[in-house]
Amino acid sequence: MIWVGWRQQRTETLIAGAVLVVIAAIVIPVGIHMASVYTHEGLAACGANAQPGTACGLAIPSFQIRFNLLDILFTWSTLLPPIAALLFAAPFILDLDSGTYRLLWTQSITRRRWIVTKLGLGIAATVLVALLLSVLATWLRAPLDHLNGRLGSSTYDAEGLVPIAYALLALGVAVALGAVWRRTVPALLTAFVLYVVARAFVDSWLRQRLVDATRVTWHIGGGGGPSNSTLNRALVIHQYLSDKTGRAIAGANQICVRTSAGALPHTRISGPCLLPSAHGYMTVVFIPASRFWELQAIEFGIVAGIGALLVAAAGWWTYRRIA
Amino acid sequence: MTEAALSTQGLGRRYGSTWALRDCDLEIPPGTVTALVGPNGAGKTTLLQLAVGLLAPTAGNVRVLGHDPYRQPAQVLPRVGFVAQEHPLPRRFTIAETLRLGRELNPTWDDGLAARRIDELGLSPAQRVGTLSGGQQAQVALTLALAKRPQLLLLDEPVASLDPLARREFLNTVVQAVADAGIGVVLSSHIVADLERICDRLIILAHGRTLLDGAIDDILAGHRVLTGPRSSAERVERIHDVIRESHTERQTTLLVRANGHVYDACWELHEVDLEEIVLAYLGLDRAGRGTPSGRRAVVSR
Repeated sequence: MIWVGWRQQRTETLIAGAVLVVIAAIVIPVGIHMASVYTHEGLAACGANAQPGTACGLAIPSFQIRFNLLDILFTWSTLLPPIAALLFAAPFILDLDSGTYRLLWTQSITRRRWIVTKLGLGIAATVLVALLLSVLATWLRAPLDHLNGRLGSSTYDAEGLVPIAYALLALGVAVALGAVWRRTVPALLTAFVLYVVARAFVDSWLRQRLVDATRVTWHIGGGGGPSNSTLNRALVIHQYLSDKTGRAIAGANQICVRTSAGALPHTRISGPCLLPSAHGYMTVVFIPASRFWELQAIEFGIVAGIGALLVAAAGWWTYRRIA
Repeated sequence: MTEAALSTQGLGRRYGSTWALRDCDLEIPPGTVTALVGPNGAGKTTLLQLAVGLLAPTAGNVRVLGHDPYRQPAQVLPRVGFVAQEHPLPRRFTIAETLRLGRELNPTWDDGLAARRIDELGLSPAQRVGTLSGGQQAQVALTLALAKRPQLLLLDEPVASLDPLARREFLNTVVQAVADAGIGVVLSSHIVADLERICDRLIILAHGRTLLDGAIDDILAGHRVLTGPRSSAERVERIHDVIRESHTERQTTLLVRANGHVYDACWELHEVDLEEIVLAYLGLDRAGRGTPSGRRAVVSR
């Protein structure tokens, strides 16, 4: 059955392989170039603590602007693992859609074996592609990560464990829909939409609640808040003007920043604003960069767990309900 | 091989509130060629899918070569060749890959037989299944089923989608295989033509129930058309089962399952062919009059 399963998945595997090769061919030279610029300009030694006016303070922004395009590309590249997953869900659904499962289940193997083999191959290929993409992203972005941390959404979503989890989630949604619906194209398109919805939910609501965020309140004039580099590399959930206890002050979400108030890197200026001296305290809620793996592990557990449950549900449904 | 090829006791299968097959009791002896006839929706596909373990029974049980196909697939599947309706095959496979599929998935696979059949069909192993005609695909599907070296071949509407020539060729292949290997065949069809030539048993199904089950020779010997002056069928009915009754102004025609000889001199006796018998049974059922024994349908002309 493994040969049959592989043969039925061959086209999908070749497509995914070709796309991976093309991506690697573009990205690896860029990565090598970026790494050499990074070393050459001595950015490794700068860390992220570049003070304005120093050599590092000039080199880091220019480096970041130069490779800014990569950031934009990476926002889109987080769609690749789930798309690969939908591709690898197709052979399973196609058998149910076209009726060839009736042929395969009436050879001498049991339908349980067919289900386990097909879903197993789909999972293996999906995980492999997601893993390769994650490794590639981690390698490529090493210099940028060193400067910016790994919690920015385009980085966090492309590196570590979560790309694998999201690929499994997309696979699970697709095969579960496909098992019930038994129509390949509608099932895959719907799965993609549901995946994007689930993804938006995690990004905008769930992720910041997965671990207890750090909350810091400090007097603007007196310093003592988290450093620029800490916040730069952290996942900042809220940052607002507050009273001494950290309670937000209604209407005060914009402040006028004077160049001397160096501790306010993230405030945007537009329209009328309040003077910081009027209130004097700033509160920031954030997840520090050091908790990257903790956050990844929790998110992986939840998302991959749901994906695995959906795959199992698809297998169960197929085993029990389809003839 | 004394066990029945296929036997069912009170077999039923329900989809939601609809019974696709109900109270089905059958006993198909090994080595026979049995036709399963009935209109679309009669339960033929359901019966065959129950027999090959694709479906689990809602009621009763089914035994194929002595085993339960749903619970003991390992005992049944290697010994049964099945060609599903529309003879599905992976379209992206070449013929050679399709045969390899058979080899990978069947311990009793006969590679020589498969290759020989493909050769006889004039097909090349490198051809893609998706590019073949419907008749050729049906033949490849049949090859896959035969190269398992099954003891029983189950064919679900194998010729329904084929043109008359392809239909003839397909059935000839079946006849040949049966003659060569002595295997039993159960095939479903809503086309009665050709069946008499290749089958020796007939089962008529309609609305999920068995209307008639027997050897074709016995069926042909047992049914007669009686023609006589216009009259009521009452007297005949006391002795024989009237399957269909039709009247013109001056004449009454009865199709009966005769219990013994018909002695009545009022009636002229004719032999009747299989197709007419099948149609009579199905016509009877279309009128919604239940099972044939002791009932009748009136078809006015």
